[in-house]
Amino acid sequence: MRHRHATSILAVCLLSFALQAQESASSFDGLLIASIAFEPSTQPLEANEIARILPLKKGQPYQASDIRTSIELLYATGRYKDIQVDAEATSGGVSVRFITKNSWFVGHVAVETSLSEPPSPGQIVSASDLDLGMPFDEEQLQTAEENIRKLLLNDGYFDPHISHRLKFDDTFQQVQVTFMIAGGKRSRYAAPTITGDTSVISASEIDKATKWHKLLIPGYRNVTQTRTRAGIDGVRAKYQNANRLRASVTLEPFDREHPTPRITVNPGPFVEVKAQGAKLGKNTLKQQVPVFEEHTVDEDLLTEGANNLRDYFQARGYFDADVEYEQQDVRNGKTEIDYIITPGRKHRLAWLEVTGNKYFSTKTIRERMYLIPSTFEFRQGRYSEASQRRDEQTIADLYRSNGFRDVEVTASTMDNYKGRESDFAVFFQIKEGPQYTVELLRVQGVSQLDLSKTLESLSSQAGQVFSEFNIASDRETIMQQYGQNGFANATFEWDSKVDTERHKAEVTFTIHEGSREFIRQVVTTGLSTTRPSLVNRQLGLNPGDPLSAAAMAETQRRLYDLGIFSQVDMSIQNPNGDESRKYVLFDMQEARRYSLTGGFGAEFARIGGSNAITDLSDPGGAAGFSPRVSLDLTRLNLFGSGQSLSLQSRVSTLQKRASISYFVPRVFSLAKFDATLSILYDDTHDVRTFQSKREEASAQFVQHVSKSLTAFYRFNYRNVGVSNLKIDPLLLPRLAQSVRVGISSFNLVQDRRDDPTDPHKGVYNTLDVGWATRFFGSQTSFVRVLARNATYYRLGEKIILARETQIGLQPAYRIPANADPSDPIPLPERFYGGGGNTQRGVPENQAGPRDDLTGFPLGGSALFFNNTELRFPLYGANISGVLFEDAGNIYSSLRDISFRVTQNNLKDFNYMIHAAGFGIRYRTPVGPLRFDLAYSLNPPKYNGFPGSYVQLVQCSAANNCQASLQQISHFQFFFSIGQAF
Amino acid sequence: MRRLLLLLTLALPAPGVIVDRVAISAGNQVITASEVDLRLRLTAFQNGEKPEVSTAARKKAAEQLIDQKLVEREMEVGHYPRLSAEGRKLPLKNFANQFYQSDLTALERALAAYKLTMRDLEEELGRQSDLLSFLGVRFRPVVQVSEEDMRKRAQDKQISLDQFRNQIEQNLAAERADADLEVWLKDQRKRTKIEYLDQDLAP
Repeated sequence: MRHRHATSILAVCLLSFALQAQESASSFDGLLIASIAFEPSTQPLEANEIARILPLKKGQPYQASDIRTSIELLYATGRYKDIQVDAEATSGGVSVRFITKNSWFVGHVAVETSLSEPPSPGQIVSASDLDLGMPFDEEQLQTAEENIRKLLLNDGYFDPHISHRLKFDDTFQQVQVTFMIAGGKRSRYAAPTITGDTSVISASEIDKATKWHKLLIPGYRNVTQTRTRAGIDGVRAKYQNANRLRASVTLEPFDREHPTPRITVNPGPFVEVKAQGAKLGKNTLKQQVPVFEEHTVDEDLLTEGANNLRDYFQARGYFDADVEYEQQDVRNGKTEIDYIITPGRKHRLAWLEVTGNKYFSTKTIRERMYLIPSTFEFRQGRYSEASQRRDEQTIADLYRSNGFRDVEVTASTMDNYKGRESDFAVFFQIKEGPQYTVELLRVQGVSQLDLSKTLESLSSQAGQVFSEFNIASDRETIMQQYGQNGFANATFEWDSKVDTERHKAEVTFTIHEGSREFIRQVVTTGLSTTRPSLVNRQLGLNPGDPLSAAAMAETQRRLYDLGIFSQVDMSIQNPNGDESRKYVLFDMQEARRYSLTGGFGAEFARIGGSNAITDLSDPGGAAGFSPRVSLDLTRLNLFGSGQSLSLQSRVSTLQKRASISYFVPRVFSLAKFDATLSILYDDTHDVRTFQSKREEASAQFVQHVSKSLTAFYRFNYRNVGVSNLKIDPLLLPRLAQSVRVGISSFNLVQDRRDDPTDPHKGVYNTLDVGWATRFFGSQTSFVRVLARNATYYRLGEKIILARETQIGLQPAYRIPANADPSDPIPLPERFYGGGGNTQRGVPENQAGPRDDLTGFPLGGSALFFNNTELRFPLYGANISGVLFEDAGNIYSSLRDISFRVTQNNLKDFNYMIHAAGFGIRYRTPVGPLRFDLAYSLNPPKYNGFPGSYVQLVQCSAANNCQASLQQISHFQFFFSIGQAF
Repeated sequence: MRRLLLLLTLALPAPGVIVDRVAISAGNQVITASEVDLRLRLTAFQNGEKPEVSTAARKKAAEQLIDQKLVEREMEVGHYPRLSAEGRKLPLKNFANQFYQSDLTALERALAAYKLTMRDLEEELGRQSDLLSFLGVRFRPVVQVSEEDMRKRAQDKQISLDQFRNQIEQNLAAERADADLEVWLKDQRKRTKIEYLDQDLAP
């Protein structure tokens, strides 16, 4: 009985729970909210953010709709996967509790694999399609692994084992995903199984065309996606060469079950593409008719080919050219495509006239036009009907963008211009119409940002020109301001009311600012060896800053600039989440720590002649060839500090050089300073007079003062020895000694050129000041000043005038008793000049004073060079010409600098050499390939010695040496990359 | 012992009741369980029917709410015009005039029978008004009705085209706008991740 009572009481108790559970939410309506709690107590949103979002407030009446809105708003932040709310009546009213489950976001995605590349880890991560900062769901992993599997399969890993490991970071709600991949050995190609019609190209030829077989040795290469694609393209090209332009070549997917490539071929008909009516090379036809490139034949491509051919002929002066095509039906497996070309007469666009323009000068308009009348560069001029129409549009756009809404541009042509049968003229007639201006500008919707200064700078201010171009520019300006201040969702709309009679417009800009977002925290991931402090120093973003894409990009650039990351991904976590403070993510892939680079090169110029001490012939140099090998090894990110250690070596017949450099970016945490410590060994024979060996240690600080200004602070300490001197033996005791030099120098570089490899405008200035003194441990004391000023001007549209002046001096002081009184500076420390970059009237390092007996150059303590170049287009867009004049020389000292153009005697080298010449430049992505041919008006004459060095020693002792009169050749040539200056 | 158990029962903290929860998520938007119930009651009230609480009815209401959320998101992103707070009162006023001769007390009483408040109805009518305005701006302008279409409709309905031209044109335009809306909604559903946390509501 007692037991029954107990049971019934328990039942009542459970019943009361059940009743409570069934209680409708609305039964709390009107009760005061006594408390609001969260479970778990640590929430992904900050407390003040929650307080800002929730409409539910303690002490206010409970309303079911507020609960619903609270759930909606919390969920909209993107930080929750699930939210439930429970409530209970308490003595103070109703207690509300939010029971939440967090959502997760993609963090660093890594790959652990022993498989050789390709695919690279970056490709694998990319294939996973897991984007940094986006919501993460474990369901995504299945797709990710499938994508990775396909990638591996394409690269010959037919049986990959892919698994993953997840690491959940509660602090930032991030998941680090690591894909672990094992896949055994990469498969090799096998002889492909060919199906289809192999009557045109045999199976063995197809096999060969794939290039999957190893060259000369038995066996097939490893499978890679690139090689597979190239192989199939190779087969297609083979069919194309056999005039089978409609051939289809398909490769069945090959995998573990089908490891042998299966290729199905259908050669299609024999297609012959012919040009009739005009002479046209086969290669030109292939370039102009896209059926060859696209490996297929259809109407669109054939029409495009006809248009291309018409443009081709029109561009060559056949302005009336007409091109049509005819495609024959396939008969007996053959078809023919005939391009029927009616070139018409060859014309010359002799005259191009623009009239009716008042607002813009003719020059301004012509600069924007494609049509060009006959010039040296374009002999027939440049014309086609399409280009004429395009130029009409271009001119109209130019006017419209400046408020001439009613502008009309028409072009007419005249044949037989001025009675010349082949001459042609084009006349552009412009009716400008009125210029519309803004009468009133209204800007609506600006409330959270002070845009007063920005609005003042808008192009569509009252009184300014009214044009869509200006409005687009204003939009850009305003949106940039919003973007930089955390309004990522700001939008811009505009409207106008145009008075066509008064030519005025009322313009209204409407801005929807959206909500402002700030940085909650910057989260960096992906660092394994790099010190976090190094990365943190580069972050220009702080919690609380407005979220700015530009500031994020700047930080990304700075991280890349460290040179230790192969990839820096940046993202905003939970980008679509409706929260005001966002995590900014930077995920880095560290670059390989070691890099090895090698190179081959050669120098061909007047650098030759025997280097043997016994051979005194050719003191002025001879045409020579110097092959060169270089090898560099770099260890990046030493100690995870971003510093690097490099070994650089170069060996050529003229030079053996090795250096070790230790590079410290942003030294002492100074953003604008880098430092380099180096040691160097150099054994060089670039000056033909002697061989110098240099052991040097140096320290350098670089200050990036501004974008165009860089300062270098250097200290060098070196021991320089000379040997194999080809000079008067009596001078040997003075000049053959090795010398220690300690020099401190300051170098300022101002670079305002538009393109350093091929400048068209701008200024380039350098000033190098050095001081060698015994205080720095130097055995010789001198000051070195070297200044350079180069400027580049546009003359017209395509002609560049470039000029450069260099002046240098290095006066010595505390001159040792045993020094050469004529020039106390040790031989290897002197100025040397002449050659492709200083004075093209003499070979490399052949300018200036020479040894009286042997005629070999001795260098000097002062220099002056002035170079002037006229750079102009020569043929097409890539080949240009240069006319140059070089003046200057190396001089014994500052006071010896002279503008005199005649050489007084065979011992006088302190005069100004002048050379003029012509050069050709061929534009390449790394700068122009250069060939210069110079004619020196007054090359130096000098005494050479006709015998051997032993004979020189003997005659020198007896003071009866005979001289042979020699002279630097009037003609010099130079090959190089990059402009002379 | 009996007293002890009674004391224990009273001393136990009364457990909270789940008053609301996420039932469905559509992108960053949610439909809560209470919202589905509210929709059922509002529909029943407006139709003058008894509220239906079957699973099928709840599912149907949930799907309507998903469509509604997608439209609301589009309106938000595209800055489509919406009724102001003041403007929202007008549909309610019209409703009260039309069905309750402006007797707000009677209306309130009728709403209470469905466990609804004036605010619930005001929001619902405002939402419906916004939706109609959205349809008008977003879909109607692109709808083209040809002469041939109107003639065909007149033939089908066996009415005079000249007499009912405007009506036919309006009907055809409305039908096509609705069809376009259907297509658009289908596309939006494809683009949006929709998750049914309450499995009972899953289609």
